[in-house]
Amino acid sequence: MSADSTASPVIELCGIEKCYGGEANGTKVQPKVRVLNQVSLSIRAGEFVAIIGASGSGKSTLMNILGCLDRPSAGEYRFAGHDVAGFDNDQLAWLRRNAFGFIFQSYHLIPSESAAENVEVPALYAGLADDARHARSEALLGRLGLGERLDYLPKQLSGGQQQRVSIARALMNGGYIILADEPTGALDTASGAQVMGLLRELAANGHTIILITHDPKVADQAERVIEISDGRIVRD
Amino acid sequence: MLHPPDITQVEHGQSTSLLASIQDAARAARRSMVANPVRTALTLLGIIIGVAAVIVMLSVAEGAKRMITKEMGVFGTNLMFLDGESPSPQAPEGVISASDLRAIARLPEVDFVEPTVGEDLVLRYGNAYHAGYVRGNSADYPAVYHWPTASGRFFSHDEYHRAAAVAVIGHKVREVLFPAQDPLGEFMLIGQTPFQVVGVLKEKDNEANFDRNSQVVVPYTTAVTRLYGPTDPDYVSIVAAEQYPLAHTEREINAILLKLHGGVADFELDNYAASLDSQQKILGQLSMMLGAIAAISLLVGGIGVMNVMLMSVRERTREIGIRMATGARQRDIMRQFLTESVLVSLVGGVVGILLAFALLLLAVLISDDVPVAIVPAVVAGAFSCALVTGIVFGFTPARRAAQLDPVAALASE
Repeated sequence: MSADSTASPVIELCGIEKCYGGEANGTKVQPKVRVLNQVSLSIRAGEFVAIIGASGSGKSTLMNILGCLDRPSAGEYRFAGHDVAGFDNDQLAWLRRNAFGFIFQSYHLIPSESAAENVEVPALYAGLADDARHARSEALLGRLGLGERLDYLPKQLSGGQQQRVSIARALMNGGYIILADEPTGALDTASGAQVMGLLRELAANGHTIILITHDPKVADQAERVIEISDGRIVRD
Repeated sequence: MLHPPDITQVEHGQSTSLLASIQDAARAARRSMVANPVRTALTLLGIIIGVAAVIVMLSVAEGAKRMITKEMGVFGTNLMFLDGESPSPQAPEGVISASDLRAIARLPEVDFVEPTVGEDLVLRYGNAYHAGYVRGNSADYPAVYHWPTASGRFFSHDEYHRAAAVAVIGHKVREVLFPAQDPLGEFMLIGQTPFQVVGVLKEKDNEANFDRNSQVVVPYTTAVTRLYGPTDPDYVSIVAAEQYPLAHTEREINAILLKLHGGVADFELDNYAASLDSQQKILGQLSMMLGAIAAISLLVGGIGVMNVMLMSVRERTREIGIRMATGARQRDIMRQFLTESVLVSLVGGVVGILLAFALLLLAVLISDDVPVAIVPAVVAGAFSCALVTGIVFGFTPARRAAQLDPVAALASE
């Protein structure tokens, strides 16, 4: 295992809460819904963690907070020892760009852009030069068996292929931490197995993988399983 | 093997290469324009019409202005015309008498008083004929009208007083009557009377309905005695002295004439320069108004751009979410949509300029009378207006895009 279990945690959540509503919205007061309740966990570099929970358990919200797409209502989120609460939007974007790579259930590729262009998006915002960008996207797609389909639009690719494009995109800027939200949810068994194989391979290569799923069989492939229910961690 | 991102760099951030991001944005913009051809065409139309309208209107106004300015240059700006006029519909036209002229000439505000008498007559030399305006003037003619001779000389004060049969011919007259020979010293017939040609006037730009180069100038004295018989001047040109304000000189002349005519205003003093000047002013206002109308059409075009950009942001909300998830800053998103709206506006601007040129060319081909002057500044101005329109009207949609919540944007559709 390449995971260095003695390293200090790269991600630490302490008493994270996320609430929606509860504020006056016009004349109606939306009922306050607490989606995450006192969530505390820490993830060390190189870990392969699965977060499992039924739909509505708050696992997607947790992923959004982990990936700095969303801010918690309360609690502390420390990334490599830095409190993320003090980060402005640009700094959060920096983290998303340089620390995280997202893999979504519905791939989330830009429909008008080719496979290679989709993969290059994160590097564009990181300011990587054209040549280096093209070379890297080509290499990544080649490694994932899509070397022949660089110029294909997402709709010209199968689901499994699209998910591999999105994995290549997640790796474009390094993919130090891969956040995968139901990556196999929309795929057939064979493609799903292929994607899971890729994730295991990445974990073996030292990437930190956080996998979010409702499927215990998928979660079992991780080293560590965190179960979440009604916004609380019930098993770690 | 796998290095963690250096969190200490988070404060510095990285800058997206401006060129790369504009290229990327332009590519996205081009694709969305091509993907919705009808919508793109309609958006462009607003900008095209706006830009073309600005250029066409200002070019025509500028052309008219230049025509007037040129006209002013032909005669100078201190020339006035004096003519008899009926004080009321039934009364006879007033007569400007020789004593009136002498009185005006004594005014310190007046440099020259130049009566003119003239008619269209047939000019003949050998077998060649030409119809021209034959005018009797004084020897001061070249000074009064800023019109020197090109060859030979103007007739002298002495010839004027002797009523000598000498003529100075216009450029066109020389071309028609003396195509291959030197006219100086030759005798030509004006009507039935022989005149000796002593000079040729310089060529001047023509007025729309009058060929200035078909004139023949003879001494006023000669014209009255040999051509037309005793008659009052058709009109009198007065050159005001430069050192006095023109309006003051005009008042002085009016006052002295009123006194001489027993208080009856049976004359009209026309300030040529002032009338050109007021034409100029009217044109200036007109072109400003036309420009404003054109600017409004550009504004409408801009609203079209804004509309389409808002639609585009709405349609591509998920794409924006994806870009944010992959690390786009708010300003990257903003830049992308601004680039798109500017691109649309620039394409519209270029097409608008081409359309304006085509319309102006067509106008010139159809009629010679349309004054057209394409000023590079107007073209550049209209183009930058389109650019500014793109930025101004693209700003709100772009900001809206940039301020989207990433989670909500990703979940859209």
